Amino acid sequence: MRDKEFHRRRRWRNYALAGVLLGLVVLFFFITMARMGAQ
Amino acid sequence: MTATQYASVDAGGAASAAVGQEIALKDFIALLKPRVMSLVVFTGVVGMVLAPGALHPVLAIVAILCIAVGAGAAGAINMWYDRDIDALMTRTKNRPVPAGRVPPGIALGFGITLSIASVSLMALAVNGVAAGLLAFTIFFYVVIYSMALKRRTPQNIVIGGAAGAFPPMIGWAAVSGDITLASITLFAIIFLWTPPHFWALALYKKDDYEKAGVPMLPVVAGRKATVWQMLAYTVALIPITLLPCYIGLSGMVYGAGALALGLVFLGFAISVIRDHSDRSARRMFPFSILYLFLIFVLLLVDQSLWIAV
Repeated sequence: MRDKEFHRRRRWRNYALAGVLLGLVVLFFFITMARMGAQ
Repeated sequence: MTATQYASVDAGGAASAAVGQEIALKDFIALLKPRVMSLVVFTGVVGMVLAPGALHPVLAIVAILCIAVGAGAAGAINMWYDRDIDALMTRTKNRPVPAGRVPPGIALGFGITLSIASVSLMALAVNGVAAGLLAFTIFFYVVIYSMALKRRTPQNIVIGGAAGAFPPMIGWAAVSGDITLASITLFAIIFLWTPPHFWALALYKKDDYEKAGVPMLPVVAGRKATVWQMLAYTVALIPITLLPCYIGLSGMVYGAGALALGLVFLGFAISVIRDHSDRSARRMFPFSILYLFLIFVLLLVDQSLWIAV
């Protein structure tokens, strides 16, 4: 039961990290677009 | 491996969590001192709005994000450094590090990582001046205030207050790319507001600070000296809040509002002198936060009126 709970938490932590990484990719994409547009 | 939570007691008396335990997301958020962050972000945004020039909306959002994350990172490093005295004070003993929910090393690593990330992103996306100011603010809060001043001098929050005063300058620099008299004026308002704000809190939390060995002015110099210094800073603050009118940063709507608010703040400072209990200090502290918030709201309102006209 504890292992099941641990795996559930680890899965959600991985999803959260993937979300953060994806967010950074999107952020850097928009920063690049904005800076290129400004030039 | 299952999630195991175990705690030990370090040299400072703070319960310290072991590496490997589960840390709740809310504790990571608490490390960033979100309530302090909200005022920092707000004053930073006002600096951006008032600054001459224009910034791409995406870059403006990035600048705000960097100010927020940088402020939070400084808070996390501060919680790592102050974990021994935080454990002794009622107000701070439930913070994630002294309560044993976050290991000190994790808090430090989290703070350093976010500091580097926020300054780097500000430099890459916005400009070097804003990034330099953000880096200096984090350095000032952590090294000058937390490590050098806080435990050594009753002037800790007077000089250390500069750290909280930089955000509008960072916001201004993010848009205009420079430091001007106008942005220094915004800095000065927060700088002079900090002593009466913090000493109001220190007056009714004196026992807490004394227990932790933090030489706040009420602990070292007593109530009488503190309340008179609070009055002196409040009196000095009022003309400084009117400076934006003289330098053309804002108009009479702001001026009238700032003067009215200043007089109310002065009334609170006088009531703290006349009242020998903690009641008036307890009332002045929340009002001081509202006061600063409204001063910066007035700057925004005045600016929007100018644009509308």
